Amino acid sequence: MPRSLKEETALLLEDYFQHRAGSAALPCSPTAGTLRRAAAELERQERPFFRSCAPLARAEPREAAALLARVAAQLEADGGLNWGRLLALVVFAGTLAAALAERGCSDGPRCLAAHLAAYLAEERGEWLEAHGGWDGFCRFFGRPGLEAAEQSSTIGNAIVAAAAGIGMAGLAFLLVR
Amino acid sequence: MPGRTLRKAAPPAAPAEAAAECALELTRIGDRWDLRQRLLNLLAKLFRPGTWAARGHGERSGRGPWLCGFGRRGSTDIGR
Repeated sequence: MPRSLKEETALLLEDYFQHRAGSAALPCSPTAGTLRRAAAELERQERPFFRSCAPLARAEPREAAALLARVAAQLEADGGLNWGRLLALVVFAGTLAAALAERGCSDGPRCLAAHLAAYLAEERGEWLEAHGGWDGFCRFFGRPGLEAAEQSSTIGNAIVAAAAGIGMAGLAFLLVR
Repeated sequence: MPGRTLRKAAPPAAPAEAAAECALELTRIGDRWDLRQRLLNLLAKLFRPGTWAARGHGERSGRGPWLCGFGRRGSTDIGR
């Protein structure tokens, strides 16, 4: 039975938040794996900013959820939503969730995941559906680097094959002479 | 100052300011990341082996692009 967008979003966010908090479990789906990878890459590139955000998470999860809601509303106020902004928002929420977990609020990550999933599925659901849902996210944040590597290995194979052919032809020419 | 009531510093405004600053920075980061990924996706599409082979060779000759999939697992007749 297919899951609703809200359930799927909540599962993906919980998976990412748990991973962010240091859980060694494997991703619950390929989409979760893509989210983990893309989010980790963004977080690594923008580490100083996300580190500076961690103190914003107070001990109370509801305060963090209210802050997240305010940030989400302002984030899309200027120019609407795009996949990059959505990913940045997820990483920000992950930062707050990790800070809450560090302060001993074990329920914080699940609470934030539920709030963000409700916001994304209910208030931004139309945008998500129009852009292919989480499959669209996977297509957008696929692995062009990997494809490029595959392509360069293809070209490499072709060059080796061509060099081997020329070598054999040269050897045959020398033997016949 | 005499005659003036002391006002508290404005802690309620602080979270709102912090949210506004965070949203602004996240917007910048998100837009940059979105553009970066769009460019990567475009480059990946342009340099995908099938793109030019299909246009230049396969479509002209009416046959499949010969280089596509060369060197990939399962592309040879020995089953590798």
